[in-house]
Amino acid sequence: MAKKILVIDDSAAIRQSISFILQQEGYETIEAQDGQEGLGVLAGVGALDLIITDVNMPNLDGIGFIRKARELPAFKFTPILVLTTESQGTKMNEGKEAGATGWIVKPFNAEKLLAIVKKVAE
Amino acid sequence: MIDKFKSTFLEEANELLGQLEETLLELETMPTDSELLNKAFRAMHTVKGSSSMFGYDAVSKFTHEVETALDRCRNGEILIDRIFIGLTLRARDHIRGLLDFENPPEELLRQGEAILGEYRAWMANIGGGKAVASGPAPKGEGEGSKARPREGANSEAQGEAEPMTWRIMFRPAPEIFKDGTKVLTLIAELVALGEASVYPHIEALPGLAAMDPELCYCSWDIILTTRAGENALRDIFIFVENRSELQISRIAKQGDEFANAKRLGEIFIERGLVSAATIGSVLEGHKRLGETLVEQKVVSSDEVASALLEQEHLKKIQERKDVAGSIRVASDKLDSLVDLVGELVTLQARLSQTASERQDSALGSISEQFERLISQLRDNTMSIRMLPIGSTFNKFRRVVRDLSLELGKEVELQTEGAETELDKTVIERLSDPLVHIIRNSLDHGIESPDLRREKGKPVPGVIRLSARHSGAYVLIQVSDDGKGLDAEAIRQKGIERGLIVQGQELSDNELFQLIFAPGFSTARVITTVSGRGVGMDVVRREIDGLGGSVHLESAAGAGMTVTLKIPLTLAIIEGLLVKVAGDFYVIPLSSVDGCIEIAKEDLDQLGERRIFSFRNEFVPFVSLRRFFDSVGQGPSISQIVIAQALDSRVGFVVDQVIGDYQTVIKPLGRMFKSVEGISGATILGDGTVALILDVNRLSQVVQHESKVRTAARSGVA
Amino acid sequence: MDDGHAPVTRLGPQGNLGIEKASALRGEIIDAFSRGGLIEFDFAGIVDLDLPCLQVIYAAHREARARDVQFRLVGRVNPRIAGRLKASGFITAIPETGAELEGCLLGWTREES
Repeated sequence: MAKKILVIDDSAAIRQSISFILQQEGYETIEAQDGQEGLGVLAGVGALDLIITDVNMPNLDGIGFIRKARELPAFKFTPILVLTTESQGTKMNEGKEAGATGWIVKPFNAEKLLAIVKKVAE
Repeated sequence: MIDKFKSTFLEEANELLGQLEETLLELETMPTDSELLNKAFRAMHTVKGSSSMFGYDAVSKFTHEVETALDRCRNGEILIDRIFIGLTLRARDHIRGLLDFENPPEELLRQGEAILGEYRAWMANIGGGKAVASGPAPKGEGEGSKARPREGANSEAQGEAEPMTWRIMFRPAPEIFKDGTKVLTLIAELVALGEASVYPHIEALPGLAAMDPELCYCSWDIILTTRAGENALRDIFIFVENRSELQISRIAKQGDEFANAKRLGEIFIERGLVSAATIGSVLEGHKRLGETLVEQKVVSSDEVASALLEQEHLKKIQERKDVAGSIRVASDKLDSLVDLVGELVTLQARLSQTASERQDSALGSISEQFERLISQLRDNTMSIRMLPIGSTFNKFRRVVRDLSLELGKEVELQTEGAETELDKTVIERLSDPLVHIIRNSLDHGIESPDLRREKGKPVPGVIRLSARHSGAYVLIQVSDDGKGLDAEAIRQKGIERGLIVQGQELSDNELFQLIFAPGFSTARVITTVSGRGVGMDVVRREIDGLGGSVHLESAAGAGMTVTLKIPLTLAIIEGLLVKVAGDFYVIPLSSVDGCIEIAKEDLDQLGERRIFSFRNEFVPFVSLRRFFDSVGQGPSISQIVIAQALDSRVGFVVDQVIGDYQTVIKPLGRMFKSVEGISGATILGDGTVALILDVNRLSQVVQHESKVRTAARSGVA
Repeated sequence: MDDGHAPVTRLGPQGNLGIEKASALRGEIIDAFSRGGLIEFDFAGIVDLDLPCLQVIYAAHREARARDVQFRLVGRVNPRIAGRLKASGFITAIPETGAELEGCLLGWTREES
């Protein structure tokens, strides 16, 4: 069964790129454009194999989203990857603190993305 | 990143810059509104992140500094004023300008630097000296947007480094599961890097009633022998936070002289479990160290078991090194060994010939034994140059992966026979043709996912790459389950290209071989992938150059199979030895189709036309006597050797066919480089030199002459 | 204890035994112990097994030893699970059945019945 991944980013270009790369590898993806919408997806979906989320987003940011997601029993242990930029070292810690499994540093290419996704979702 | 989303990125960036402008203007009237400031920061941040993803490095670099300034305002370090708003609006305009170029002109980059300079000056004025120091690191002047130094920083450590042995002690934090980390996956990732002995500690596990099933009670000692560097090992634990304990230390290099591996005591000391003094006092008692330490409760039996595992691992590595030790030899020494063996092979052929001529049974028996030994010696020598072909398979996996992504197809590459060995040089020269064949299958063979679904085929296409031995050859097959070749389309194209004539009766199989003809391509749409029809003919030429042959089979709708038959080695070839006017020539046996006798009168009768019929085909021929300007008349009965050249047959008229001959190819000296039709030379048992014919080149010459003659005749008529 | 008619409780968890199943698995096993008799833990339906549930199985084994009851591994062991256990050092051979797994799991003392 295809693994299901939720991709949250307010940039459609990045969201779609990530989705595209993952779909090419046989993953099923769901997109959300901010943390609030992401929580909406969690409410409707039974379980996920991985969540990839950006940090800086309107409405509900990535860190807030992770905290809320970890409160939901179905997503207590779901691997979560945070998209950060090199300049956001503190965000990595903040993300880990909130319950993220790991992070992906922008910019990244398909190879790097897939390597990290495999690492945490397989 | 992915080009197809570039336009989305540009639209989005422009939209964000539009919003940013609005936000900045509002901010100018309400400079303390933190939500507005956040909004501006977010817009800048998103532009930065996505521009770096899509390769707009100048944008991301510039935006980074502006973002830093905004961040400092957001943190309340700096108060927003009109100058700042003005600057940021200009920065916004500049970004919009930069987005028009993937490689912005110098002039524009200088303007950007100027804006950033103003930012720095402004921050220095407003925020005081401290602000400057902690501000965005001012890059060295004129450094511009140099390539990113990141990426692959760890990969250098891998390469062809000597294997080293590491001790990894991993004590996960009890709450490690809580963020979704899968510990067993981490261990498996580590183990996959090399040869590992893994010892899990489970003694900390409490009883069923007392345990919290969501906490981790296990820890690991792992001894790993790998070529991967320390960074690669640490990278595996990159997401493991500080509460977990991780110690990685190098305990041995492959080449280290750890006589009979390490002593148990040393291992305990190195692991920090026992002090050297304790070890010393136990050893003085002449008791078994492990048992004694457990009795004295210095270490647990579990620790002993783990240390013993390390000892065993080191011993195993050491033994392997002793047993399967290898030595490096300069490749020219190997070449000269191959040469010598080749000469022995040749000499042996001579010996066996002499023995049979003399009908000397004693000599004949020696010759036979000699032949067996030499054939073993030859096989052994050749095997030294042999490498498994699997080493190149990975490259093909990559080709398939990248290309299917590019073409939007789903393709799986299956491989078989990776362990099949081939001469090193042959493997190197096979790589390009194979890439080409695989690309061709992927591009023209495998259908799009939609089409496959429609046809009821499994959506992922399959390309199978297999290699196996078959006598003195290796058969390499690339097959796909795509749509196969369209015989009719090939026929049409063949006629268009003048490769066949209208109405010519050809079997499908014969038609398929046409795709190897120069300049042939059936792709209706020329893609960037398979090039412009400079495909399969190049493959054919390369394979011919290796003394091999290409064969293609196809079933409409079910896919096609390309088979390459490659000789195991380049250094020794099987040839047909022939004689012309006292000189010897070798024709590679792989291209010989047959021999026919021809009487001198018949030959003379054919006269200028120099074409004869062979298996219902008109074959042009050339007299080697004439071609190499040999003196004298041919014998009353000559032989024509028919050989298969690139795309047609060609006959060579020789005086005498002597027989099969194993020959060692010697490169020709500079003097002979310019001699047309000769690819190399070999020395016969009695010391005479035989020249090796370049069948393809000779065929071209003959074809050309034949065309010229035909043209001349039609001109006369 | 070996009366041959002791009740048998068969536990047959299905699918992926990830961390989210660990608490429930522990609960089921505790229940089984409270019922007394032999416990058979069937691997046949398990697709994958992660460390949290493996810890629960180990704990159950120890519990059984302490109570002097039998906790048996039965059924076919998915090769994926066997591979995972081997890579992380819990076993050194690749078992095909639960009984074989018992024979090679690190620190697993098998009682003869």
